Amino acid sequence: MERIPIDPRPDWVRIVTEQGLVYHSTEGRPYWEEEAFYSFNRSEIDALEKATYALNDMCLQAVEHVVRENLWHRFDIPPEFVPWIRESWEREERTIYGRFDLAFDGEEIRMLEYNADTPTALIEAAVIQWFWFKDRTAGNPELDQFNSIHERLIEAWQAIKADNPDGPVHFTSVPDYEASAEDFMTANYLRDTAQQAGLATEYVEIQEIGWNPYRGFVDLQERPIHRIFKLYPWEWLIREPFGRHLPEARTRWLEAPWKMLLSNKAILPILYRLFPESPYLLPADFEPLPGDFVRKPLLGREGSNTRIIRDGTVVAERGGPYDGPVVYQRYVPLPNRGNGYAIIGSWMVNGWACGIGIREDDHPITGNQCRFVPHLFG
Amino acid sequence: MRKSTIAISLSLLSPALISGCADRKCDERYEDCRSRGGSYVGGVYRSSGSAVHTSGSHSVSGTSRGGFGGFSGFGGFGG
Repeated sequence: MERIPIDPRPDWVRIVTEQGLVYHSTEGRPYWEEEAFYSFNRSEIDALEKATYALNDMCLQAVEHVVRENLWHRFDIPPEFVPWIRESWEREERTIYGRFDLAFDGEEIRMLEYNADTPTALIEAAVIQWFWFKDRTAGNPELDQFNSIHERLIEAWQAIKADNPDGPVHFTSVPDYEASAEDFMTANYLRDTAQQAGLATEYVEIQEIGWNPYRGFVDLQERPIHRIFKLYPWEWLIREPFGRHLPEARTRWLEAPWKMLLSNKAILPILYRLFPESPYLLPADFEPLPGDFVRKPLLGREGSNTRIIRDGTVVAERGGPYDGPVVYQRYVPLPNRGNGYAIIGSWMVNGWACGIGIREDDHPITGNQCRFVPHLFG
Repeated sequence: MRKSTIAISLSLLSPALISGCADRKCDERYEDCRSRGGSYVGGVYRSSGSAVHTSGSHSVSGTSRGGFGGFSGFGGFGG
């Protein structure tokens, strides 16, 4: 795993914008970083793929364990939602995607967390870095990129279509384009892949979803919403006024309700208790650990409210809006080759480990100011 | 399968969407640009206002709205 400097394409801003990455810069600094790329060898990619499958398998076993052993209290989930979440698991409701965040130094691979509910950095991983790869390698058969995310997404939607051929599938996200272009574009990229799978789709802004006592959740045209993809966290939905209708409604949601167990960091100690010998898991607990550790809120996102504690001292911290219960995970430093701390996002789509994306951050806790760096292998 | 094997085709993430549907003529809350030969299915690009409803509102049909989205004042959350 090497970080190799390279001259960016002169018109990269135009290129990536036209490809959908309208959020290519953050506060005047490129978010899409093509002044370098990461180069892997084939065995490293094999190892990442193998780890991702293994982690996914352990996560599914962990969900089964939580459901069977009634460990819901660990997740800060209101009890009235437990039967509904359990039912979604027992019905094997479908999932589209998730992203494991991994620390990888070229040798050991360690899972930091699983973004199982609302992962982003998707367009850049699935589309933008693929076109970058094609531009920069000019069909060189010795080089490749670990990336079939786009195709797997279409396959995932084809499976949804087989279940529900008449559609449509609704999509929803935070509507404020100015504040959250990434969320809006990500939801619409996923919608695009659904349409390419042959599904009819509709969009409804999250606050425009209606509740009708006879038809259940409805869109702006009063049509019942049978299936909806939401780029909006489960932990918010269940705590909002319409959350109380979720268990009684016939609407099927993507990601499925049971995914809220995996996007909750309470899963980290449970995974470690179940699989302490796994080379991919870090020690984690609901109580502070000896030695160096990271304190993470159960429901934090983008590194918010996370602290790194070394020798009893907070050495790095990010603020944010998330409070509530926390977990503790053994600290492992992210590799830094002088250009930022690099974290690997490994994508799981419809049961397939199908690609990676790399983000760098100047802060040891990856946050919203990170930069996405493309990769290849050969 | 490691490498993408098909050409990535993006129909929704079109210049019209990316540039903000500047040329759109339809009512963005209700209509479908695509069906007019445009490239983006409507109701989606930009909210007519940035206000987030935090309490429900009722219509004649008995449908209430605004019961989701209260947390979106956080802006983006990523993952």
